[in-house]
Amino acid sequence: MTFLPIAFDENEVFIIIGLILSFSLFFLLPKRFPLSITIVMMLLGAVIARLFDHLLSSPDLNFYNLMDTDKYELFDIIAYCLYAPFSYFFIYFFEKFHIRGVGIFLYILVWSLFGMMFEGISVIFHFFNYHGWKLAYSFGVYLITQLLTLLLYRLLMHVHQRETRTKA
Amino acid sequence: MYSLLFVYLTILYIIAFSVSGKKLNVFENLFIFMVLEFLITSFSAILYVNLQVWDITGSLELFFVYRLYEVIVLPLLYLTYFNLLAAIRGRLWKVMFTFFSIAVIYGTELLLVKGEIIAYRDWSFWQSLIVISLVLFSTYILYRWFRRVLRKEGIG
Repeated sequence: MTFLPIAFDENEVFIIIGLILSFSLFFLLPKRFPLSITIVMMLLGAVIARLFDHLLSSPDLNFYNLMDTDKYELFDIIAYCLYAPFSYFFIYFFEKFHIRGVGIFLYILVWSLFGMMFEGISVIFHFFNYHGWKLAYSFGVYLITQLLTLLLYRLLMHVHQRETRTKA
Repeated sequence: MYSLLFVYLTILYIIAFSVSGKKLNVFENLFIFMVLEFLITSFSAILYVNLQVWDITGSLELFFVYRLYEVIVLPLLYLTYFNLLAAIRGRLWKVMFTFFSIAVIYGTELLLVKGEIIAYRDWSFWQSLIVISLVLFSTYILYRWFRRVLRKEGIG
């Protein structure tokens, strides 16, 4: 059993560059949320990705592989860190642009298309290697996960404001 | 039949957990649950995909039971432990409860072994106890850190 990649090639470089760019943006953007909400939302992105990969990319039900092999590698874990800032950006720009009402529908749609575009680029760099999965299927996954992300974010903000207001 | 029973029990457990009073707040429960999901699925993948010290059943029905166990039952069991731990006073009682919980969690794994959903290959029960303890310990450390963040914000 090897935990390390077979070769340090384009998919590993893709992950590293992606991490550098996304976390650079994360640290450059002015802070909008309490740290606890930032942590939970970023963790949500990574955990959702982990869950889907575990359920859809296992030996028994293998729609796609991550990285070089069908094993659970070091760079699989590092790659999950890449999903964390994306779920943060999703709620960050939701608040920054005051998306409300019908705008929420369009916002989720745009982000789902963006997610598909990013996934398409990931396939080119062999981060995802499809066996029976199609990129179009991911659209539905992104729609659902982003809706859940938004609902959870609204719940957490409501609870956070209530808790800090009663303590004040 | 076995899988149907397991699904019903899982649903009942989810309902019972949701409606019961909890010592930890929403943030803490969510954080712990997500950490557990990540850790449990990772350990599971390492054990049966990478190391192949576990064989998971080839039956689709029983494999579904295993997935439910991994993704819902086991994280909820650990989460129940953390909520109950917060309610217990006294260090000795907490330690005893921890040992009891490790035994209960291993007991559920043993049920799956007896039900031929999991088969051990070059694996012993004490190794499972170590894995369970590792998951508990790592989650607890992360939880303590997150609780400090919450306290600074005036929550909990």
